[in-house]
Amino acid sequence: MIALALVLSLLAFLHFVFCSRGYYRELSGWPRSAFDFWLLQSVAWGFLLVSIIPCVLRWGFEIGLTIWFGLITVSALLVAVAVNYAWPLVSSLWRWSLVRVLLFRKC
Amino acid sequence: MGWLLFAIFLTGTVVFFRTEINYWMTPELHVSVPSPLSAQAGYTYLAENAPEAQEWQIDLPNTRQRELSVRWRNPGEEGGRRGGHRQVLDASTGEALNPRETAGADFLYRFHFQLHGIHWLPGRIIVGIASMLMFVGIITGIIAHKQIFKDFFAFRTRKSLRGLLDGHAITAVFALPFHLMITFSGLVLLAGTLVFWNNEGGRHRGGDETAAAVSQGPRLGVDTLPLAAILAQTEARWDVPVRSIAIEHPLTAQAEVEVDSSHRSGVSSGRGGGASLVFDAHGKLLRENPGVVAANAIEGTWNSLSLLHQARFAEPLLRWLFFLAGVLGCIMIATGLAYWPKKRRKQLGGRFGYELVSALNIAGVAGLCVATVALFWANRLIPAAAESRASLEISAFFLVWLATLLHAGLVRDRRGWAQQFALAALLCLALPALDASTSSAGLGQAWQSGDWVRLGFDITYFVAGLAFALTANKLSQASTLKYPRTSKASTAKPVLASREGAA
Repeated sequence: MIALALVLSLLAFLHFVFCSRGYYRELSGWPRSAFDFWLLQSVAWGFLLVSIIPCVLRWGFEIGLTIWFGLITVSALLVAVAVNYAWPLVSSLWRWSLVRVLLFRKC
Repeated sequence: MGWLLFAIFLTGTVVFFRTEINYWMTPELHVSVPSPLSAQAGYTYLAENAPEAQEWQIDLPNTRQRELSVRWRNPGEEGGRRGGHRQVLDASTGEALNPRETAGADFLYRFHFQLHGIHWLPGRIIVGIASMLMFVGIITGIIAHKQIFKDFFAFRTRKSLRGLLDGHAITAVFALPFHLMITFSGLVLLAGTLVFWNNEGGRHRGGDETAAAVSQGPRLGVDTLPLAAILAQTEARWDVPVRSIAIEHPLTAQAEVEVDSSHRSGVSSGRGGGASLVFDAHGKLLRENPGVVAANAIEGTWNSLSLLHQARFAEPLLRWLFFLAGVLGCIMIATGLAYWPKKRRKQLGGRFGYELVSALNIAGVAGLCVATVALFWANRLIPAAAESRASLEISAFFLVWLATLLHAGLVRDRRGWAQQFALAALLCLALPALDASTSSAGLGQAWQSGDWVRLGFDITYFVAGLAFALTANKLSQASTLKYPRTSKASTAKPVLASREGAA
């Protein structure tokens, strides 16, 4: 459950990175449209909210929510480290991300 | 105020592992190995040494402590946290252990909310005011840094001033829920001291009732109570280990055995919110306590904030998450402190106030890290039989801190930071060697017996040592910027020699 929650929250923060104007341009090669922004934001928020479920199922609502806040701190930190020190990894993850494969095949 | 906040945050973060640190700081306990027969060993000890007691309590080993602890209270003796008698036992043999007197993590714990060397009330008021300013700082920080979410993942280390600000923002934003929770809950916990008409200062703990002597009837044999069956039934009920056993009127027909499970489903139920089963003297189940539920929303809120702040309910995963968030908080304050002198160096460098702030920054951040590790060294180097050794440990902590202040007064630039972080790294990296050479059980023995409480402490501080070494290395590379020592130092451009400067 914890691994699942961590993966989901990592995906959420990766999508927050993807929808940032500068990073999007660097990844795709062209400016971000309003549609791309809202789509990636929605996916990111979706992953983030869904990542609560495994925590609540495993630890109950009160403790599960507390653990979720801790896990998203770890995820955000890991993504920040990846963005600043392992950009090729972020780039590869973008190439394999479901949103890009399904909707942005041109990228 | 930043120095005080850093001290509160650092010591508060460290004592998320208070029990584990206390265990490390009492090496006489390291021989204790938990066993399925630990409860029976404690019961036998109490039956032999306190057969007339009114009340027994057996605290079993768990993931955070490996020793067995027994308490008892004789008829007519005061109850509460400090009442009665306590003995620490080897969890496998039931043999009495005599741990050394130590300040332990309890010193750091008390320091983080009431400081040291002054009466507890003004200490708590000072910490309360600092917490309030921290809370205001967090809220205003979110509002003031408009780019905070735009540059969410940016960490521009190539520009040192920008890097400090990014480091400050990243650590602030990533652990923002934790920072808000820990500051606000700390403020609520200290509310009693900030409200001046509250003459108890939030210190009342209750539970000071005296044990009334009751007619105990005929005494029963030690073997009457089927302890193993009781434990098995309780563990099966919630599928979690038993935490403690409390027996009222032991060895009599009126005995009531309450077996506390470590099962907890929420934080709003407070400290006593764990579930338990109650048995009679022959092991028959009398009733089930599903756990205390908060009487109302206000009590539930207070319980939640109190429990979250102290992380009393937290299992290892959540404890580590809290610790990590606490470390991020420390970095947030440290980078915030370091930013001001760096930003103002050109305008104010050389002036007394500026130089004082620079020195206090180094001693307040790097110096406190050195002093905290020095406390652990003092714990092992001061002879175990020394008189007032807890006070000696605390004196060592403050003397080392004072020494770092003197050093920072002499070396107020990056070299001061680098040298003190290098010293902290050295002390941390050598801590496992110190542990291996001064404990009653070697590290190999700890590995074989699965003593991850102790090994975890050594590994954590070794990793912290690596982080300090890395920081010291970065700072020493950058400190090749040579600062002229005249009073007008700041107005002269530094002589660039570093990679960063050249870039």
